[in-house]
Amino acid sequence: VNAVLSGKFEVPSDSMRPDMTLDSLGLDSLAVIELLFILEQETGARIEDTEITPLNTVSELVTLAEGRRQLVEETPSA
Amino acid sequence: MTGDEIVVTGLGMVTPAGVGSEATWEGVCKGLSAAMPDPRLAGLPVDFSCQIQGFQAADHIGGRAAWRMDRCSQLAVAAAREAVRDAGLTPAAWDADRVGVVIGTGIGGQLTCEDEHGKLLSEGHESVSPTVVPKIIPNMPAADVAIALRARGASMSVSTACASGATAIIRGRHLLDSDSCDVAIVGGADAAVTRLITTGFARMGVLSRRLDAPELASRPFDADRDGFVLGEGAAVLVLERLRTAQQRGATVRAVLAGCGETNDAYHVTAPHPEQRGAETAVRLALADAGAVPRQVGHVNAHGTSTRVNDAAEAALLARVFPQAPPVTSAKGALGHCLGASGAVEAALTVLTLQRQVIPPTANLDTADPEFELDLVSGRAREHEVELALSNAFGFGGHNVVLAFRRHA
Repeated sequence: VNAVLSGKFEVPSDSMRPDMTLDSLGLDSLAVIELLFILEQETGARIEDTEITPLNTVSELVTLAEGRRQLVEETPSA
Repeated sequence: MTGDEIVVTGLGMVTPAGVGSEATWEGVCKGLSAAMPDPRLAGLPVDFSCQIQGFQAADHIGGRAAWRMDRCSQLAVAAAREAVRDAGLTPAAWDADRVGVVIGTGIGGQLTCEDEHGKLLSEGHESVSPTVVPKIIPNMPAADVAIALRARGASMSVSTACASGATAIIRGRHLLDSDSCDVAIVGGADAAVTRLITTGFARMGVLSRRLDAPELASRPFDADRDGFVLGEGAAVLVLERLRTAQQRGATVRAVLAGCGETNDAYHVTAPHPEQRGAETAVRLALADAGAVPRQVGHVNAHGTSTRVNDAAEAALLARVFPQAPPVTSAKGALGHCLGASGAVEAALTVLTLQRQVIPPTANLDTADPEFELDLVSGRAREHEVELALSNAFGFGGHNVVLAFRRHA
């Protein structure tokens, strides 16, 4: 999550804290949808844009993403 | 109508000759073509193009804004920022409600369109980016410039194919004439050097097939020309009323003295055999400038390097201007930057008036013997010019002619 935020969205990594909202890092609703899209592409963790909005914090997003990623890894591949 | 003279106070360009107005001017004046093999076009009937080298969107726009934009918008915003800076204007300080934006584009966000469509076909709908629509719709170069510069006046895109950038300049002038704004940020942008667009132009037979020597392929008015070379770019001009410009102590680069626009109403792609629409556009621009053909000291031609376009334009210029003013085409150096080209060439015409130097037509080794023109080739020519025309013609029969006058 941090890598995507500091890479594509140019959020300086030293200004990022887990309790900050995505909104306060400069991400609006469209940016959050793009962020969730990239996370799904890179990790397989699927999060709907109704579950995370700009008012959620970085740590809330990270927790949700880690949970989903475990789900993906535990799902046996066909 | 305010009746005031409209002047150019700022220029910005991003072209295959370089990032920035000066880099573009110097590149065009060297008379060397920017065409080169294009790995993105590998396997297509034409696999070379004129690409912009060394353009990093984040350097000009900031990465936070750049990821939302197609390359077409990125080029437009970079050129607009340069033009506004060149005009000595500061977006943080200006009366934003009185700043208008008109950016022409021939095609729009084509790279994004093809990339995302490719993903839809190969990987399914879930692989398509949610940013696809605001990246590809053709108003976005104008909207992105307005957002980036905090310009809250009227803003729009115009589309007249390869004349789009010149049409945008006329619409901006009208916004000033009607007192709808005090500053008009106008120009054109296109970044459509894509596999589909290249294939489409190649299928039409309008692209040069000089595969063994791309750097010699774009050769406007040359006897051996065989088509144009696809390019990309953006150019933006800042227009103001002379009075406003003088009040704030701005440097005036040139006067936009007259505009003419017509449609051939004849054929989708072929010019009218007697160039009737183009000739009317020339005469309208001159009448608007209060000038007669004899006073024209230079023509920056549309000159695409196709057999048909150059022959039609040469016939028109020879007929209307018996004094044979020096003629050049920037497309030898830059290729055909589609909707940007009318604005790029207008900007070059402004620089010609300011510097009294006409850039050469790259690759013009042997002028077509049919053409009775004084073509500038080899190297840039110092020449006294008071009134110059910039021609732009587009598929669909659009003819746009701009007359610029030297500012005393």
